[in-house]
Amino acid sequence: MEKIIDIQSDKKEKFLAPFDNQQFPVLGAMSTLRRSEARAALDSIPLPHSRQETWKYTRTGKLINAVWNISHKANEVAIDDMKISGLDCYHLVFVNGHYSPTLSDNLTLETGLEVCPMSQCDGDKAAFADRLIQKNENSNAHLFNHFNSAYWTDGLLIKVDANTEIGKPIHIIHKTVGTNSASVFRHVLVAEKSSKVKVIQSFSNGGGSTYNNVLTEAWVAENAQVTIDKIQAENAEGITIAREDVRQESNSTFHINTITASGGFVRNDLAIVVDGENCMTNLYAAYAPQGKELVDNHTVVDHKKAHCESNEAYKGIVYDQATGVFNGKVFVRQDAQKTNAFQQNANILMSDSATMNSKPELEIYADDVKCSHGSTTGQFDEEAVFYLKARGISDKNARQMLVQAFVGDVLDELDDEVRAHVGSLLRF
Amino acid sequence: MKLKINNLHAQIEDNEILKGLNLEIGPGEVHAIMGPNGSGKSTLASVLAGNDAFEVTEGSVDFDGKDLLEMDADVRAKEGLFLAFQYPVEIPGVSNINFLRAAISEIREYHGQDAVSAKDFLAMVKEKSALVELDGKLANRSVNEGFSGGEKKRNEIFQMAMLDPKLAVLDETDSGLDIDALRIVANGVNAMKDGKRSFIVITHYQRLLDYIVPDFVHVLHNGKIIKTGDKTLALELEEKGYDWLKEEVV
Repeated sequence: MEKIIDIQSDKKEKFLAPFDNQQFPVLGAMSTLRRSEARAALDSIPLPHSRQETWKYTRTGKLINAVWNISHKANEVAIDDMKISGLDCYHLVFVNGHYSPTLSDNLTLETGLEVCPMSQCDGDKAAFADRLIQKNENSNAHLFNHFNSAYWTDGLLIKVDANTEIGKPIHIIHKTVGTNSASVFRHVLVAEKSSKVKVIQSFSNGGGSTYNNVLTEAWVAENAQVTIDKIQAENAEGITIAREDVRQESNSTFHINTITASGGFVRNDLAIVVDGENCMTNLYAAYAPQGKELVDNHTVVDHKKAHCESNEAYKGIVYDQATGVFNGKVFVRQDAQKTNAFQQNANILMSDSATMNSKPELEIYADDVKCSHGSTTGQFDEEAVFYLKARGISDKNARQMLVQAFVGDVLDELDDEVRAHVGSLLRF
Repeated sequence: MKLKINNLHAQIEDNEILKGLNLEIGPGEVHAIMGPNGSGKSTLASVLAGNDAFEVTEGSVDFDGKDLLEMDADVRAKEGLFLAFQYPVEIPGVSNINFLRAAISEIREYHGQDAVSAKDFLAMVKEKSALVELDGKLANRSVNEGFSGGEKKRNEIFQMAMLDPKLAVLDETDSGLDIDALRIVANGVNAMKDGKRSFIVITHYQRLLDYIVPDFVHVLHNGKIIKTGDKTLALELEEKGYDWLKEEVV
């Protein structure tokens, strides 16, 4: 047994070594402390293995056993294909984990909106970000989330002033290129009281294998409305670990659409704490892994207060020998009376070798709530295919039409331009 | 249009259902196929339309000089064969109109014709949905989703009118219809008779044949056609049932 532990910790040391000798942005005293605390957590948390519930179906060997290069410099990187055609938005671009001023818009975007790369935050901004990062200590963070806290190199601080509605979406473009290239991002999004903002995060990679670790902390204050569209379109060599930590205050709305068009290994953790009354929380996702890709979505919605509603719809189409994982947990705490919580996970397996693991979970401690959850995984409706073919539609087009219809209600949540962009990324 | 079915054998999961069926259909003809439950009527419709669930083990089907059985289901439709389903499938998320538009585009492309304009298409939708008194709203809904039984059947005939086939196979289109819906469906079919288009009308009941008058009535039993007559045969069947025929065959 001792020997096994030795091998494991040896593996972990090898994985972490390239990251340990880096220079990281310092926001303030707390951020330095937090990094060392996170580093200590990395020492004490074992590597993920299949006996752990949260990693049961997701093998992390490809990530752990590689030697990552965190300081890969990239000069000319094409990101135009990541922009959303026809969408009037602000562009903020990160290449290999670092903010790119030349590819991004000017940082003075509009009144009431503060946007600053974390690597450039100083003075009040640094102290502000520092305080938020410190505050948001999450109990169910896993090894790679602590990894993020220890080693993030850049990200965005986005602060929307009270009573401000941001006119255009803020599009954060994450591009990672090179071989064994790693990018570690920390974003902090603060929507003050009665503000409204929409953020689009898109991810793409090029070259050899890449590792993206992104953690977004969102603070949705009273009566604020925050929407995040997360568009993941990496190649088969891409590894993504993404997490959103969200805290909602009363009367607020948080809406996230997670579209995983492609990517060799994608693990998304979504942790939403609904800590105020009359909140609305919407989580929608569509994923379509092909080849040997893996998409793992873990979500937690924690209803702490009364009179809130959450809607969750995750829809997957799993092709070839690809794997999908869904684990959705909804807590309804004792004080969260009159909660309406709906959760649905539906999947279509497109081949005999495709795998889907789905686990919807509800934990209810209040006695006057309306909650439902459901999970379906099935094969293509061949009767529907035949019906369409009998009208003159080719087999390929019939299947494409049905797949699009299946994820249609998720894609309907997107704005037209984003939907069209996503449509071109999904390989139906 | 000419269809020639010769010695057709078909099975599903080792269970032989069609056992040497012969049938010839000429241009503009209406053929009714009647028979007791389990005689193979719907199997015949499925096999003609190209449903992969059924395996053809013997025989041939010649459709206007082409080997129908060699064609994929969509190619059969493109060549002018239409099946009105006994149980039209509900397809959530696919709009009736968009899917018909896609079908017509594919069919026109197959024949080397230009795509139909949005304006012409909508005019056609309006005209053809009026033919079967189908509410315009239904045309915009998801295919058959939330349609009543009668609406589903009318939707089938609406699609038939839109696709303008050479041969239409109506598989128990009358089942589950009240007399008004039956009349509407039959009127839709009759309006499409043009002396060239042919019909195979599969039914249990003579009732439908009062409205869609057949040139020939065939009785299918145990996978074969055991008797052929004119429309009076249907009346005779209505009166006497099928047993006397079964005995005759034995």
